Amino acid sequence: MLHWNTDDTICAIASGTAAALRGIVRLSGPQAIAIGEKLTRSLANSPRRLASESLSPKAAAIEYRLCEIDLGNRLGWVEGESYWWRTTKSYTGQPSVEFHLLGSLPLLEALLSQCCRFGARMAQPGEFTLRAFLAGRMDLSQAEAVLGVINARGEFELHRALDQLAGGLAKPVAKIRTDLIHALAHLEAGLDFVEEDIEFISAAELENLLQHSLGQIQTLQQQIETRNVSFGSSKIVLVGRPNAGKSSLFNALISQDRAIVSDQRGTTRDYVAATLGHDNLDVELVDTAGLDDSLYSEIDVESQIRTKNQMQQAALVVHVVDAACEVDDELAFIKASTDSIDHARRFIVVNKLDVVNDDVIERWKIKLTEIAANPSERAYVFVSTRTMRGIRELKNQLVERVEALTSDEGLGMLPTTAQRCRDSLQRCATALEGAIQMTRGIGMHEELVAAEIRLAMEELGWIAGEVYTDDLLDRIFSQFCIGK
Amino acid sequence: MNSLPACRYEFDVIVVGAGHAGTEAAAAAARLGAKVALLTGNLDTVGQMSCNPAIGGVAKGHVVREIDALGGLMGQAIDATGIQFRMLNQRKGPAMHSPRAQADKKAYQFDIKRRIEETENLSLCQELVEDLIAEEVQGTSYIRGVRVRGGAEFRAPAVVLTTGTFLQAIMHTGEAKTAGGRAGEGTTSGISQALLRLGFRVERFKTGTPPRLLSRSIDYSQTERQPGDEDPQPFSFLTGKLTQEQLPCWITYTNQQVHDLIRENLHRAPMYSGQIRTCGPRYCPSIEDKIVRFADKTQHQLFLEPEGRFTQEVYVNGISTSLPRDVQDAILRLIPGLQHAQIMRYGYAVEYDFCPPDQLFPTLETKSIQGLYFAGQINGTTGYEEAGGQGLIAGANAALKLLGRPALIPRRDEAYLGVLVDDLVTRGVDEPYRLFTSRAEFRLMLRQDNADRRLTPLGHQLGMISNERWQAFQTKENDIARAKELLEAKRVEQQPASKYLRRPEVTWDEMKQRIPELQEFSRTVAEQVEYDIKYEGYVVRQTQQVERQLRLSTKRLPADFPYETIPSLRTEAKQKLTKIKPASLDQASRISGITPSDLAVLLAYLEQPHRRKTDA
Repeated sequence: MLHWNTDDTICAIASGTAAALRGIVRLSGPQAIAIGEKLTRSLANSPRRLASESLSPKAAAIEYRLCEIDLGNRLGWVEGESYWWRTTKSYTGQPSVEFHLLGSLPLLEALLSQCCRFGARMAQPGEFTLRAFLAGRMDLSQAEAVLGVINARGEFELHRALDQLAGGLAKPVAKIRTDLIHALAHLEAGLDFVEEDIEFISAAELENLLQHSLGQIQTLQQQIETRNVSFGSSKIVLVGRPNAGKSSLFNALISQDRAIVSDQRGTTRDYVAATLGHDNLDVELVDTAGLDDSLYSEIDVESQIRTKNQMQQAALVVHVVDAACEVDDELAFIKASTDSIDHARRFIVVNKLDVVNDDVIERWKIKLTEIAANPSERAYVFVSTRTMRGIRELKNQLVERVEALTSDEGLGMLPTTAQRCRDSLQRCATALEGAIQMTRGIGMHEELVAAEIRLAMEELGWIAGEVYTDDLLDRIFSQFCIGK
Repeated sequence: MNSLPACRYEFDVIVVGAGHAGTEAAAAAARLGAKVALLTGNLDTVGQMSCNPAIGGVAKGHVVREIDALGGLMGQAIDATGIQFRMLNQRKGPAMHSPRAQADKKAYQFDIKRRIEETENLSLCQELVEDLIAEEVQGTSYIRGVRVRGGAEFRAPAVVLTTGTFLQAIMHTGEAKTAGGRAGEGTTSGISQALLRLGFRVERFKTGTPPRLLSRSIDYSQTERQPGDEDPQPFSFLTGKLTQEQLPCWITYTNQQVHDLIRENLHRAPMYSGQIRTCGPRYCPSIEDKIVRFADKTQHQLFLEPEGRFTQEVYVNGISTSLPRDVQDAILRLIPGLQHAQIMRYGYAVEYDFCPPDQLFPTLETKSIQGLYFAGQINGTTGYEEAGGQGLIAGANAALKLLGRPALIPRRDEAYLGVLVDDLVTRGVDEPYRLFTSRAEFRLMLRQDNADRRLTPLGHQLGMISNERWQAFQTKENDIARAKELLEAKRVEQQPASKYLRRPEVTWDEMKQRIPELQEFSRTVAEQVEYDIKYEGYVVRQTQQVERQLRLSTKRLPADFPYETIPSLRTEAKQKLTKIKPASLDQASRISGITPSDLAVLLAYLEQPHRRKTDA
């Protein structure tokens, strides 16, 4: 209930969560500077003002720093830029920091985790705007539009996101909560109705109940980690043999020189991502290392695994083939490498149209129709990244398909919710561990165990976005014959 | 009777009803210097215990300690007249320790009456109030006083209604129905009509009471003896040591035969025949309720509680019933020890009017009529302690408002009284309300032993505390501080003594042996030091939560806040906020169905006019 407190330091991805060239994480609140300092080390010697005081007092309040940002143990330090508002002259009227780094969702999420680790919490939808409004940065009519959607949007997105996370978090969380209420009702009945002639729960039984719930929480934690939070996002992944022209296609599609393109096999060792802007939908386009059955080195093994992960998370897997290659071989390879992917999520692009003649194209068409899941639907396009032929059609097709595939899913909210859920699950687990410890201790104090269980339940309430009242007493009265 | 204005009396505060709520209300207002009239229909039932002859229990005992810490009557009265004292939940942690005492019923009520009579500024009068006098001035309604039977008027700018179960009361014993709020007494309908006329929502609740038996007709040899504590602890922070002789209670059980008999006669129980349709408390069910709802239980516990030292009357706790007299007689024949018991008063259920408490501000003043306050069962609560606590708060606030001083609104983290009042005015009630420790989210901070440390400074600040009490409090605080200093300075097992004491297995007795200087401190001081140290980690955590709430509570919402005009507020939120009129964002956050997003929208509008131009 109290998560709208303006004294908390909040953080969020401010650049939209579809991958883009640049990703921004915004941090605002009393602790923003302190947290920012812990997460960065300067590259340049001294901070730079964007403008002199006389030129623009507003810009003069901003400090710019090239820095390295600590993304935690797994990812280490990455290079980025940061903007610092040490005074109240920021968008939110509070000390703020903005981190600008590579627009990759995993990186941005890691940074959010780090912010939370040092004391920030995830912002609610609309919370930055609310603070900006409270700081007098906009008038009521401007804020009204945002405030008006907070209710509807928050709730809708939350439910969508919960459904998607770890195969639906809402249900298991509700189940765990029910189990905990059961345990708590027994404890509380023992505390409040000591004079009643009721057999209350033993320490061993209680420990069992709590262990069971803790186990379920841990399972959920694992599920969130393994099922990447980007699951369900509108992501298109380009795959194919090395040198089939994936990176050229990637660049053609985004018309930017983002991916490094070369004609040496296997240039793209990791994956790169960009946003494919189209009308209202931001589609994330991911270029991957080439799929290959011959392995070169350990680094390549890792690239291959990353590519496979990307395929699992993608809304649409686009297999890029070289038109000049042997058709049957290529098709067999496509089949082998994308067999685990749902056919509706598979699309084939035949590249290098400009280097083959019409006969070859005809043979491709026949074969592609043969292997199609649904012959009436054309799941392929011919293009040439050199002449840009077919690129526009491809772009339209891809966006259309992704739109169709993801229209039911709440975009954008997901990573934020995932982070919040992770936080809450962790706190929930810690509280349960504390409770279990105490049930083992000598002279177990039920009221302390109850306090831990209540804490755990509160966290579950945050995940589900619900506030519960009074059902504990309902439980007690339906379970025990209370009253003299 | 004289005709008009001859019989007109002027007071600052009028309290209607002299039960547990009314006496605390009148005494609290008088302590603050208001000229108070306490009106009761019967001077012989002031402070009467209508139901069980006991004070305290889990959460309820905490409330008595809080009432005492604020200078109330209940704690000292029960210390003076208790016949058995027990500290419940002793095997649990200190926050759960709960004092409970059996009272000598008559002695208790006379003790309360004497305290009222001895209170300066307080007039106790036998008057039957028949009407409320209110007046509308420029769209706002004000209470002006009450009219009593015979036509006399008591005039005052503040009136506290503590009418208990007496509003349009009907008692049921089997098929028999009698008008009246307590066995052998009457009912009033004038006040209910006045409340309806003044626009209040009035609803009905039900409660019940068990039969009373003649002690010498009970065979105690077939029952279990339940003695009082060997080292009884007082309720009042002013009571030194309890020295009276204690009486035991006795325990027996119902059995399958009893349950069969009740089942056969369910059609004659008013709750099941349809004669009573109103809701009773789930935590205090009648015996017929227990047997229906928990059909697989083969026995239910019954406590035989003496009603006093000088009476043979025994209260049978656990067998509240409205079954017909012949069934009540037959039930006893089947219960060990009670086979030959003689019923002196039969059990009955009573239905009465109450006003849903969401019509009140947290001061317990009504939202629609300035100066009118409600306390006790009229607010849909049960229990002497809950009633007394509300009485104290309503009476104090009535006087404080007249004096132009800040109101007494204990917070949820400060007192069970805060939890009680906040629950009532924020959530309303759908069954008779009783306190439980599980209702308090800051339970670990609300210990019975620290009630004075939580509330006495507040009472002192408001001018409700006698000098004697304040002196005693300060001495105790000094001792606590000295003992803590000593523990910081001394070392035990290569660590500060205070840290060593934190271990769960380390007792104060052990500390006294290790550090002889600690022996000078009293048990109450030792308790505070030990509990403070042992609970520290939890208290720190709860304090952080409290601070969050406090920040929200500083965002005040005016009573006339125009919720309806805020376009981005959901319709449900508009309706609820308009109805409850929360005093702050903090209270708003606890209204059921109000979401965090609603709060955000409210916050935006609330801060709007005070916006500072910080942009250069």
